[in-house]
Amino acid sequence: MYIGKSIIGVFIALVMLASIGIAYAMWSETLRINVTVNTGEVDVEWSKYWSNDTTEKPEVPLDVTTVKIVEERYDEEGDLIKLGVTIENAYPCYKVGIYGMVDNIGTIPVKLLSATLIYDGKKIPLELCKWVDLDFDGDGEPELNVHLGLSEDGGKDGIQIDPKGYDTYELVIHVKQNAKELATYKFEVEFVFAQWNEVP
Amino acid sequence: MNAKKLTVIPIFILLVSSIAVVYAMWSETLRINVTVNTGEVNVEIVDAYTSDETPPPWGKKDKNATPTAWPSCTDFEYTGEGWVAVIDGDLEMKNLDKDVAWAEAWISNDKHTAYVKIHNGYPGYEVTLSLEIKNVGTIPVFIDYYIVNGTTLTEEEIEENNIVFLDADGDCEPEVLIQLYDFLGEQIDPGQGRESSWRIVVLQPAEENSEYVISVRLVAVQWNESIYYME
Repeated sequence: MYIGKSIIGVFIALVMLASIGIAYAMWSETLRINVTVNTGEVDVEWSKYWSNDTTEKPEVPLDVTTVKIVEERYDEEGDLIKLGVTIENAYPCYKVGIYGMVDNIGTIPVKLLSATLIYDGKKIPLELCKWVDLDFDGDGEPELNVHLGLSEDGGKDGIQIDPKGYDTYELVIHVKQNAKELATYKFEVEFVFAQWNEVP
Repeated sequence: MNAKKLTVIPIFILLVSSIAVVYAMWSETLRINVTVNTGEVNVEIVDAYTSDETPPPWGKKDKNATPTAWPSCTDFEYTGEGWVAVIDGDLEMKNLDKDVAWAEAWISNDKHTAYVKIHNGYPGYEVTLSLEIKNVGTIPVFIDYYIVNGTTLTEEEIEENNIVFLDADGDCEPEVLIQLYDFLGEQIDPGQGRESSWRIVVLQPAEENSEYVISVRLVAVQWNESIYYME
């Protein structure tokens, strides 16, 4: 009786061991995908700049109003990111276009996300092809107005600039009748360029 | 209570992930800083003198003038500063052998007004006022108008009619006249000047011991807004 039971027990143990042996013997191979993501860069700079100011009477010569554009700030990579424009001896009706060529020196296409006019503690969105009045003394009679336009569409694709491409923007500054003599008016225009797929 | 918590948590996660998307938009900012300094329109009378500045008996012999034309009543217009008639004509000049009247000219402190005072004037007496103006501002200007006792005159009008009769009491009998010559229509650049001479004549209807005021204002306009500016 006891011997029979022991034989059955041993047999079951052997069968179990054998089945375990079959599992260990199953051959296998593993495949892997190793992914490296190198991100690109959104990077723009002012590459060229000029104005359309002319000498009013070249035969004299008489240059009544002068426009000077200087490079005002570079980023840590040495890219020009801020221009300084000084218009001297302006008078009512004087109008000048300031041109800034924006180069995409990054690797991602960019689009103009926003342009903002900043003066006197105010921030006013600048839309393309729309005149915006600047009333510095708050009397309801603006002294200047400005107009932002896309002067040259480098890639023929609107406000998008592809890597190594460029667009040229024109900022027209017009001195209005209410401008005061011997006065100084200051403002800043901020252009934000963002990765193309995030700009509507 | 637990169900509410379970609802709030996914909403919170969604919010956080959407913020992450906004922050993830790469961008660069370029700027233009603009300063506009305006100039100044400023014209001054830098010199004013007459042809007969020295009092008798050491001055020049007097000159008389007679206008070749005389205005009718319909030529006069009331301007608020008296009646004014502007007509075409000239002056016939005559040198006299006596020195009776004299005239002095001076400039106000702000150099915007010239004054002429005729002393001991009499009908027929003529004196020439010379004026020199200068653009002391920074913007080119034109003198667009003369305003003579409230009457505005342009270059065209002065070319046609340059004798201005002034009638103080409105009886169509003018007491003084001024013959204007031209500052108008020429651009005066900063630092440049122009000079002109005008004749003033005391006329027959002038009364004794009276004072007659001739006011001539020159209106300087920045060049690009001038009526004479040609682009």
